[in-house]
Amino acid sequence: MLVPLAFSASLAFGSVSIPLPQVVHILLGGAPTRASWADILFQFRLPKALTALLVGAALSAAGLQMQTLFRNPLADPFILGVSSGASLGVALVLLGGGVHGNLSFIASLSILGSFTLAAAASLGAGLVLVTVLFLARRVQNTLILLVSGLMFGYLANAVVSLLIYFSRPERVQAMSLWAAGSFGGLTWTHMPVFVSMLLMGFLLAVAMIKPLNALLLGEEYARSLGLNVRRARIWIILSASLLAGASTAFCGPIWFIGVAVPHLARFLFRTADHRLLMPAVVLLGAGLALLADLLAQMPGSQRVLPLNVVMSLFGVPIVLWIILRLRAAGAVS
Amino acid sequence: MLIAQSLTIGYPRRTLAFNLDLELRPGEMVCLLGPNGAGKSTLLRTLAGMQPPLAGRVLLNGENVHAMPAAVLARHLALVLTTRLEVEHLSVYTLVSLGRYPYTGWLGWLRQADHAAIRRALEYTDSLSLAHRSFHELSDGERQRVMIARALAQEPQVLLLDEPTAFLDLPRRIETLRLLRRLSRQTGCAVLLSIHDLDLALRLADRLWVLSAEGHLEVGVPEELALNGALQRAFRHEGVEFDPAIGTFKLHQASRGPIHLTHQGEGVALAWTWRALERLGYEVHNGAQPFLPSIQVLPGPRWRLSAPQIEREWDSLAALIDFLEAENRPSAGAQ
Repeated sequence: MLVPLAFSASLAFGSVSIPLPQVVHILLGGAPTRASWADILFQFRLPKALTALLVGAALSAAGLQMQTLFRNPLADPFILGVSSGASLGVALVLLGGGVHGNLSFIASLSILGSFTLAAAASLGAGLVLVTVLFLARRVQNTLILLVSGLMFGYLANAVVSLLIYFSRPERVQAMSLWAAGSFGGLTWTHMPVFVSMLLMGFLLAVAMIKPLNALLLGEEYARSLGLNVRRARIWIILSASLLAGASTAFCGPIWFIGVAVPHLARFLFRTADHRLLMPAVVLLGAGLALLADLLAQMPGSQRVLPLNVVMSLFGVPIVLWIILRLRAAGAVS
Repeated sequence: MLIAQSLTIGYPRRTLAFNLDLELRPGEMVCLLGPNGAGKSTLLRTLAGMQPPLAGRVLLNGENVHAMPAAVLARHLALVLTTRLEVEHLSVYTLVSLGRYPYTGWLGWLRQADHAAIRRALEYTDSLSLAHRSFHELSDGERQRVMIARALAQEPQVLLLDEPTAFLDLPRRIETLRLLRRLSRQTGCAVLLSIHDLDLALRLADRLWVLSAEGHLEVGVPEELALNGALQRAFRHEGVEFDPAIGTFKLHQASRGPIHLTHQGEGVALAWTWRALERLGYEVHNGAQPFLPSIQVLPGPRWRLSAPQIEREWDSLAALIDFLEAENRPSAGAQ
């Protein structure tokens, strides 16, 4: 229920408010009262809301997978270094683009640049993914995978810092703009690539629901139940990385959702069963991302807040409150 | 049912046991005993197909366990491990239903037959009333029962358990072993468990496998292994000695020389006086001996100590113990 509500709200609100009946009217093919509204809706609001919905769902699903795989409640979709790889790719394009860049670079960014950025980020994320998968095939121990993921992260961040250190301020700002995260970068031209990547990720995620349940018992028990742990691990990592990698490539690294939503779902639905958790997490994540995007727009104002700021500023207290409240309720019953 | 042929177990650089020929029969409960590090867990893991043998093979109904697809093996063989589960929001029913993993479809939905198997497993382990509780709220004993139920839901022919009594208090340990014994009888499942509690194993196991620190394995009926000295041999180098006369480890090493014990009246008082003297470090002998210290248990009960130059009587065991302790304190310098 939350999802369609938030979805329509995010279509209606923005720097220009469009009345909700008009939104429905336009979407159903009717003529708008004001000509510009249809453009705003189709060219800007709709892809943005769709992106928020998809990314929220994707990051939450990936976060759930990583938390179960690593049996660690702090695991997030980026734990294997996917976002670090992506940000390295982006940094190489934005900051390492040679000395001949100038101020117009940033202006060009929003038009054609974002496809280049997405490609660079995908490449970076993909590179990390391939390395991690290669490791996953060889090592027995999941912990080693976790540690090497962290190490890749540090390595990539070090290179990014180095690039920042030697870069011009305006390029650094472009970089931090990317790092702030945004659902607004995608246009219809990006959509097919973006959606098909996520679709693959989601399909794999559904196929991995049963193995994830077995992994709740730990790897040894999972093996004794007949699960090929090494193979399942590879598919799970591939799924999570596709979901997180595509999201990061097109929207920047978006924190918080991937860690918080799985916890929220577990607390709300009181289950560890992934047959319930996976759909729950997808819906909650989509709803939360739409809400965050709505807040970032600051309805009634012209300014747009960075997405990651909104996520943490509003999300953290809300999630803490819900968890604490449910904990207390659970203790009584 | 489960047969090991000239099995050598261990790790590439460390062989734990050589050339084992073993057989687990349907409906029997076997306890695997042995000092820490002898390779009990490794043997269980190797039999379970989780770890490759260094040599030899393990056959389940004539098929090599290590060549079988894991999904097929899981329908015949189930495990209870020592790892403690730390999962929140997992109901007992859902946990036990994971035992149906080898039987369910790609998404793991349960059919009628699966629900029936889960119910049976819960009934066998007396945990039907726990079904809707959350696993992390259970006590250690309840957890162990549920983990056994989960293994049973696999409907195995062979059930292997690694120290299922490790975290439990004595009543819970007895309860768990009784449960496993009942299971082996009722379901015809072969049960093999590793255990440290020699006393319980001797009393409840159908057979014992005793693995020594040198990698020898002795197989036999408990009483037989006690009689032929196999238990003594297996634990010899552990600094403790198995006493076949009483069927348990000798706990006390004599440090104080001989004392003789005689009695008139109740035998129970004699038995406990014997234990008290052993605990103090005396080498206790039956019957009086002239010129040597001796204690007489009199009706009442009362205790009389007769030794050269000493002749005293007490009406409580504690008073006797206090006296003996005082006599033996180095500062007293009496002896």
